[in-house]
Order: sequence, then structure tokens, then C-alpha cells
Amino acid sequence: MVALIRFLLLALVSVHAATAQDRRAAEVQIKAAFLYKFGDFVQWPPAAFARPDSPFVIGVLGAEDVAAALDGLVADRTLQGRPIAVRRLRRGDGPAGLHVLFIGQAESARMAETLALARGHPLLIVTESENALAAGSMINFVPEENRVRFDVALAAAEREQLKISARLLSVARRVITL
Amino acid sequence: MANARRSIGRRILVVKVVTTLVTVLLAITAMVMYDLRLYHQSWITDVQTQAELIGQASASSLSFDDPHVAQENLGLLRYRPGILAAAIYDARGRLFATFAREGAGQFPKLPEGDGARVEGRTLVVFKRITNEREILGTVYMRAEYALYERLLGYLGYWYVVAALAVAVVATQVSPS
Repeated sequence: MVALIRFLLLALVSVHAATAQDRRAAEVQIKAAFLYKFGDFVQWPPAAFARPDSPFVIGVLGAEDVAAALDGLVADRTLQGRPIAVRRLRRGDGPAGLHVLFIGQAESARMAETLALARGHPLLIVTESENALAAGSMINFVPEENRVRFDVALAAAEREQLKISARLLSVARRVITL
Repeated sequence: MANARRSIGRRILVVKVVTTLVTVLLAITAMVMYDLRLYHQSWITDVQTQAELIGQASASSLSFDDPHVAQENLGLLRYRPGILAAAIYDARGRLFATFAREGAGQFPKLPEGDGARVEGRTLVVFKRITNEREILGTVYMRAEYALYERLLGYLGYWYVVAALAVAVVATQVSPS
């Protein structure tokens, strides 16, 4: 009897873990797709690209699952006529050559350092942490009713000469203009 | 002698009036056909353009899976009385947002490729929403198609003109 109860509890825990894993996997896919699609709705200053055929580079810090999902997503695709590259970053790496920087939850504790390194570069910073916009992020993913939505800090993007399309703002959950 | 001359005069008049009448009716028929063709083409273009506009305005909504903006865009169609119903399907063919006037709230289960066709008294249009790389979704639109009403209207005018012409001829040829 005890063995049966133990088995049932184990099965219940396994099912719960599997569901949570599935949910995270779906969330990762959505976030990776959004990171790639943001490029359609943001305009970078010409100086952000060294050459007319320079790739569009998405840097990922502290979120290997998102980087892996991006690898599969951007293969053979272009953005604004440019090839897309995904670069995995380590803590302390500089932002040179990047156009989008995604800082995963695992790096949220050290976000201030990363944001300080990125300051002054035309770099779209995307995060998935609470209060990230206040810290200087430009787009922050937020979960809402089993969906992934995002908030936008417009002023932070404008400070780095990034122009975010009104069409992107229209689907944001919240737009902070100050 | 005078009667014979009057009779010939009437016959000539009848021939002139009938010839004029046939010419006028032929001209009216040609104009009607031209107008109906123009109506058909311009209405299809108009609805397709409307679908394209709604689609482009809803591209971000589809990209970021937020049906609210798409719903708002479709809601603007209430200012286009000729549009009976419209829907946006996502890239997987699922209904994403809908708009329908009263009694017109049925939508196809799956979207089709780009195209327009007449179904009875409605015009059905499908328009894909794409960006430079991929299909984001499809706009479906069902609109009034008033070709038959226009034709009936023209037939009414045609009948009035013909009746007036017959009346004129009858007056002219009847013995005084």
C-alpha cells in the first residue's frame, strides 16, 4: 500500500515536472521568435552596421535554451535584407557588433553591470526580469495568462538612437515613455 | 393622293423612330455592360485593397500573438457598410480575430490562398498577410455584391425609355 502511494506521488510529481518543462519549452520558443521579430519593428542608426551586408547579430547572455531556439529559428533567414547571427555571450563580454542583447533571468542579479557595458551603443536590450525596465532595459518579457507579452521603455531606446515602430508599441502590454 | 403621301410620311417617321430607338437601346446596353463590368472589377479591387490594409495593420498583432489590435482593426469595418463580415486567421489557419454584421457571423473553417470569387450575392476575398520572409496569416472578407440589383435598376430605366419611345411612335403614327 505504502509502495503504491509512493508510486502515485512520484507519478504526480513527474507529470507536474513534465508540464512545467513543456511550458518552459513553449515559452522559450516564443521568446526566441519575438527576439527575432523585434528586428522588423525597430530601426537602428546606420552606424550600427559596419557594411551594407553586415549580419544582424542577436547576443544572448544567461539563456542557453533561448540561444538554441534562436539557432533553429534564424537559420537561412534574413532580417532587413541581412543574414542573422546568434552570439552566445559570457559575463563581461562587450556589446561591440551586437544589435539585440537578450539578458536571461539567470543574469538578472548582475544586470546593472551588463547594462553599464551596453550604455552608449545602439543596442536593443531585451530582458525577462522584474523591474528590468527601471534598471535600463528597453523591452521586458512578462508572462500573462499563459502568454508571453512585453513592456517597452521608449525613452531608453530613444537614448540609444533606436526608433521603435508604433506598430510594435500597439501590441506591447505597457509602454513607458519617461 | 394626299392620304398616300401622309401614309408614306408616317412610315418614314416610324422607320426613323424605330432606328433611333434601336440605336439608343444598343448604346444603353453597351453602357450598362461596361458599367457592370467596371463595378465588378472596381469592387473586387476595393475589397482586396481593404483586406490588404487590414492585413498590414494587423501584422504586428499576428507576429506577437496579440489579437486585440487585430480585433480593433477589423472593428473599423463597421464604417464600410458594404463589408458584411471579415476575419483574420493566423499562420496555422486558426481564427485569430473576427468582425460580423448581424446575421453574417459565419466563417470558413480554414483560410484559402489569395483570391476573390462571387458566391450568389456576396463577394468573398482571401488575402494573405506576409512580411518579406513568411506568411503571417490571412484576411478573409465577405462583402455585398450588388451586380444583380444594378442590372435590375438599369432594366427599369431601359423599360421606361422603351415605353416612352413606343408611346411617341404610337402618337405619331396614329391617324388623326
